[in-house]
Amino acid sequence: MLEMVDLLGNAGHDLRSSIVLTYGLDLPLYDGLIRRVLNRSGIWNQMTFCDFSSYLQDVNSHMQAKHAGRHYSVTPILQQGAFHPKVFMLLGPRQGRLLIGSGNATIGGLIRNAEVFGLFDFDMEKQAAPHVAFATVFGLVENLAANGSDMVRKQIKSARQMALWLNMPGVEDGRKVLVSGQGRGDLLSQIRSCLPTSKSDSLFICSSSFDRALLGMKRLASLSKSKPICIVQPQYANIDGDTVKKLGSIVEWRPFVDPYPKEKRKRKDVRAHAKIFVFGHGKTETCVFGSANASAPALNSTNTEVVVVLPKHPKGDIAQRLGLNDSLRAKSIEKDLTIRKWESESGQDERPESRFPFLLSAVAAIESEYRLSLVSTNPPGGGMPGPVGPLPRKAQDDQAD
Amino acid sequence: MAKKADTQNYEIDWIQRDRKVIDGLDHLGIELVSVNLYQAMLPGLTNVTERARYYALYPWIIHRYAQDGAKTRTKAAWRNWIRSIDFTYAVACMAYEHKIGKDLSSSVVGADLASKVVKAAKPLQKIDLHGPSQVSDTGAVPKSGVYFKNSEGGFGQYYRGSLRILGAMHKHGESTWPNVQLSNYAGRKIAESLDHNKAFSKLEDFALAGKATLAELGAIGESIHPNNIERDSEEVSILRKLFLGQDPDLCQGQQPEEFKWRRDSLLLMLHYLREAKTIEERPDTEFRWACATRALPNGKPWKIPKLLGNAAQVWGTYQRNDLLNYCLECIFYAALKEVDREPLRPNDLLTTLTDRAMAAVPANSDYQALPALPGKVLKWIAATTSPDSTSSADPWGPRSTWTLAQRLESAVSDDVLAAIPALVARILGRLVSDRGGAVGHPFALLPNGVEMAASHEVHLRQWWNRAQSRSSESTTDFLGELFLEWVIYRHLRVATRKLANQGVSTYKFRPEEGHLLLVAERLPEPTYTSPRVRQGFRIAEDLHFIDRNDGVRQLSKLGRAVLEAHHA
Repeated sequence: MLEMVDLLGNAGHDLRSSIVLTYGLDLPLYDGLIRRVLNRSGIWNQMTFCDFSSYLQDVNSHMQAKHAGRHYSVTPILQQGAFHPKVFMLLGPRQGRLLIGSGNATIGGLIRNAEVFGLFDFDMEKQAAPHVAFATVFGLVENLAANGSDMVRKQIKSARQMALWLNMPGVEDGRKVLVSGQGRGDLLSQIRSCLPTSKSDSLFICSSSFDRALLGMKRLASLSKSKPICIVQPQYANIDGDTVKKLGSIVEWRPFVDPYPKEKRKRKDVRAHAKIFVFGHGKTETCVFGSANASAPALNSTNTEVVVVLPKHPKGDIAQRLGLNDSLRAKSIEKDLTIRKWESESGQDERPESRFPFLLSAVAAIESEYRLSLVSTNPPGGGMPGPVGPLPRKAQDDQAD
Repeated sequence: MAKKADTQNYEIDWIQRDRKVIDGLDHLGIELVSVNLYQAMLPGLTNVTERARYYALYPWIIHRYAQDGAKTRTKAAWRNWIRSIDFTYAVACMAYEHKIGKDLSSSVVGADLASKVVKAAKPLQKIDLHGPSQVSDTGAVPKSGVYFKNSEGGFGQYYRGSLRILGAMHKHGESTWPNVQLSNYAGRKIAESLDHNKAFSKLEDFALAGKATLAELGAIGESIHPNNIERDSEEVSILRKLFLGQDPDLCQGQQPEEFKWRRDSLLLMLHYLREAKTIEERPDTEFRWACATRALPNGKPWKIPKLLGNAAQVWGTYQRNDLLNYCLECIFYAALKEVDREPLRPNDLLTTLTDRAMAAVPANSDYQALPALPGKVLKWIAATTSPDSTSSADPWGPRSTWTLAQRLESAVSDDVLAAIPALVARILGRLVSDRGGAVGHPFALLPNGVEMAASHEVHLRQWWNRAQSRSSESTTDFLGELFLEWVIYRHLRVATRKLANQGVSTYKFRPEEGHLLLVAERLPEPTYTSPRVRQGFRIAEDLHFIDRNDGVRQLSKLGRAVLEAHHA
């Protein structure tokens, strides 16, 4: 199992920079725990990127994060779809670590939920070149920073300068990292191109989120000759029972049976949050996991997602390895799901930024000043959106730690 | 085409999600100020140092080791010495209780195993005293079958620190065992006072032999039992002087400020008992409320002599501070109950809590109705002010702070969730208006009290400041922010800090996609801190300042004499 806090804080490497890409960012957790464990690893150049809507969900909690904008930057990404990757990248002069998976930078994502991750390590002492995954993810980050604040661009530049090995041609080990989002190819098409055949013999899916019309499920089902099995945690998945009914025999729905030891399963707050697609081909199978749920926005590149495609494994290996056979063999829960109602926030636009005329998208301490980044068509005073400043020194004094 | 990497990495795996989950304590991280206050008021006593006799027994064991112990002073030899006498003491005390057929709740170290051994023993059978007490050649305590896990028994676990505060011993710089040395002015004197007691000599003999019969142990148990310190012995005389700081020579190892506060606190307890005549049940609860209200159980004012005025003031402040903590923990409990029902957005949770806080409280068979709270902070504070001019005017009446606190405790134990925020809001308002006569900073009387408080975010002074500086705000908004900052987010911050520093997970709820989810398997009930007042009363009883008959405590003649000697 992957002990995330240890993997971040006790890499045993000489590391300087960290980049966290996450949908949900629990700022007090980042401030109180992740920042500290990264600091203990010697990482002083810390950057986080998160989804704007998620960032606004609990804006009051941000006052608990006293080091935000000072010891690390926070760049909420405002885009049409969700900014949904879950990536933790640590970089040093001769070493690097990359974790890609399903867990956000939250308590749930790192220590409470059923989440899966994959690990890429690089050490110049032992390896000739880094895995291409490092360059792929760093490229995504550079694109994100292009629209961010000056400060974040400087941080990215500095991270690259301190990890010159990022410029080396990457190597592969059979794993591929796929990135989707605006301006990039449809994620499902990218996945299909990694499969040995255009249609698999079988497919099972773990997903925690769906679109209301289950279009994502339909598209995934179209890649399999047999009926796919979808493992969900019925009590928490938001799903439209009427659509489940309409889908009928296209999908088999099974409950998530926690593979954890029995005495630990009783924890009420555990969410089955892993996103896994396993395509079977004869005696082998291809596993895809990461941030993408079986939903339309995830698979059609409305969202920004990062997933890993594993090399071929013997058929049944992934379910065995992850302890998912009990889930796969469990009784169908289709009936339970057909009575579920789709839950949406009534009476308001689902994206919280619609409530504000303009939005603060980043705060960064630059020398003796703060720089604010605003996003809107109507910033105060009729100015242009984007970084503004400088602010008087007093602003910094007021926020003294 | 990219080259093939030779890495051995985790392709895919679950995250580890059972990272040292523990129940934990003090989930809002607010109790330390109260703890600091009571520690300062009763230095040398702790929540686990229950009996005066151990303050003599352990120095005596060290003293006897110097006289009769193994010539090679190894760790194992020392541990075997102290543990065998410690366990023999426990068995002898339990044998005595067995003989008289009474459970004296004696707080003897290792009493659990000692009781079992005594009950299982046949009259003439020799009881094995070494088996459960001996350590290995390296000094390690076996994993099972032992009377106590600490390698130095109750001394190492409970009394070592207290004996150092009382100046009875100090650490020496040498590498021999034990790593403490008795002070000549106090430690040796207490130790030698037991040398004259034949029962203690036999205790040593039995411990060294490693066996004794039930009858033999029961016979010495009567003399050595912690209930039976001889009223006129040298032992008790030294202990009294040590606890009350009466003999400058004997107490030279103590900090003057420390013995002053301990003496004043103990005298204040005796004074309260004299004025109240008797205490039947919980002396600690009764005493702390009496200090906060300056009132006796019959409602009459407790006239406290000037000498003990500062001690009473600090104990009253402690009680107010602890009541503030209790109120915040009640809100935490109510919040957990709501989140247990269903995951909630923080704002929705706050709306529920503040609506309840603002609402009127209906009357029931035990309590009066309470009107809804006014909309502005200033008016709310005024409305919750005690109708009487001082807190002692109607200290236990239906509108008193004490009654509100009792009602809150009942609401928690009966799960009347709607009443919890309502009662908390009324008590919090009362804590602003009724300051118990404190002028300026509430902790100013204690040395370094103001500095101590400055490093904490939540305490009585901060509460006063917060309420005063926002007096023109809406009560609902004010309470909402208070609950958010001092309860909801504070818990998350404190739990995160514990995870970062100690690697333990104590989260009771957590945010997940904008909602708060319950994490706790057991909801922590709100509690007051436990000052050492109960231990203070018990030690005063051991020293014969207090008589107890059928559970009723009364001041003894000696206790009265001590008060008179101090002009109290």
